[in-house]
Amino acid sequence: MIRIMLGNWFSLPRVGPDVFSKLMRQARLKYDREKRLFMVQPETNVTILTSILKEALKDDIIIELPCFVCGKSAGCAECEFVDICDRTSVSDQCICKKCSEEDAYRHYCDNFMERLAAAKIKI
Amino acid sequence: MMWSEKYRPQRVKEMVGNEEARITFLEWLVNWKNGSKPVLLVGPPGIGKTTLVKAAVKELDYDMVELNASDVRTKEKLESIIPQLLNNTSVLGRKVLLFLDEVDGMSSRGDRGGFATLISLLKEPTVPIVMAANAEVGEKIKELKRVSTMIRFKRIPPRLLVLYLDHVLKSENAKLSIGDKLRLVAVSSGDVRTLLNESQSLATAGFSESLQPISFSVDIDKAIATFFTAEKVENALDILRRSEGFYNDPRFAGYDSEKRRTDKLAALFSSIVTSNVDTDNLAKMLGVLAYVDVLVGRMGRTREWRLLRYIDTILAYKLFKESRGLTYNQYDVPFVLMNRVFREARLIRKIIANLAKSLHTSKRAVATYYLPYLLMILAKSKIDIKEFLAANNMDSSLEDLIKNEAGRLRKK
Repeated sequence: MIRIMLGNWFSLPRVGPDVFSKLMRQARLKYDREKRLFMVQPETNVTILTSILKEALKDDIIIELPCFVCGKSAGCAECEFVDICDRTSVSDQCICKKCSEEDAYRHYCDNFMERLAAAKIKI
Repeated sequence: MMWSEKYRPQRVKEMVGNEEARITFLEWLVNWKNGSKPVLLVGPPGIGKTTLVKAAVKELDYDMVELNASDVRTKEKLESIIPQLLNNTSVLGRKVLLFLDEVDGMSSRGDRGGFATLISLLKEPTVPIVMAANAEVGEKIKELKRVSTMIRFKRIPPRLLVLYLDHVLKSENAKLSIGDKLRLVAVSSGDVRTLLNESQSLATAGFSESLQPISFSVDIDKAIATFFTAEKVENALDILRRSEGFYNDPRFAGYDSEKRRTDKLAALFSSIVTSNVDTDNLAKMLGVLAYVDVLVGRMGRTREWRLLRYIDTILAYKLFKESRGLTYNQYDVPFVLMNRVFREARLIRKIIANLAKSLHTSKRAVATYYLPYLLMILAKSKIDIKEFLAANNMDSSLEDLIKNEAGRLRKK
């Protein structure tokens, strides 16, 4: 089973030039040549990515969303919404169960402002 | 007041989902300078593209000029608004942002020449220009991508939808069970507007149209056929709601024939005009369709999509009495005539192809310029049609058609 957390770098076993080319051209995956790591970027087609990898590696591909508040995995496999959440088409970050308990909405909003500050955007 | 309006985020941080897209947009707007490329926000409806622009404009103290699908965006109109905007800031000297919502909905007929004008005006912007579109496909979007920076928006993950819903419920002092929340999130498919509208119905009136057992859809042909045979008006209404059909733009702009087939109004119209009904009933039913057609058109122009839910009820109750015993027909001409149109169109295409070959010209030229005169010549002269066919390498199956057409012209 291969777990891919959106927005994070991940490694893949050697897939060969044809599959690599498909990953770059069709799925539009980002690749760091020096570190040999991949990343899903906003223009990546996650549906195509999972089907290419599934066929090439003959293994299950699990897409996981990161938690916007704590940055860890949102725990998609254990999420109560797993059956109605199409992780290939939703936006790239979610919120984990732990962070969605007390005063979650305020924490989420505050975190957004922290990200803006980190990106040096003043509003 | 509707929750979807009452709780429309006033600040960018109050929104949920598409965090990176929101940050990218703000970065673009904060760092905008003369000549910066316009931005194109692409994503499904109801996920916050318009809300983001409105909130950012407020927070960054811009004046916003908005042109959406309900406005006419013809060449003349755009040329009268945009250049003035690009040359001036607002009267009070505040910053101005131009927002073109639903640019993919600019119709080639209604917004004549508008798209080409838009592309040319986007090349040297002197104010920030933001465009929004629902889908990333089509020639128009391809052209817009070339002259702008694209920011993709996606549907919002269910857990974030519940996060926002809980915030709204808490503010309204309302409660919904976990089961209801799950079902509401499932029917909303990542669309915050739908989620809030349905939640409000359920929390305040104990009823949500989407949670009724009508979520499975029925083929338009079966639905309309069952509508005509339903014994009670309630059953007729139920089947209309369950049909896979929808309400198109009444002018059918940009829709292919398959999409038009699933238009409920078109399906009812074709069935009614081809059925054997007396003139009074026909007039009454067509009157109802015309009335509904106007309503659907107005809803489209004013973007009051939520009102579309009442159209099924109007149709069911106003058409029920007169339409008993009618049958579904996909085409708006009687079947006998339709059959002839299909058959003869095939034969005429065959004649045109043969003539184009022997006259060394295009099929279009033969159909437009040559064929009418040729038929006239055949009708008025004593040329033997069999010989004519043989001389032009056409088979004898075309003889009857040409004879009939020539005969008709002779009578005229």
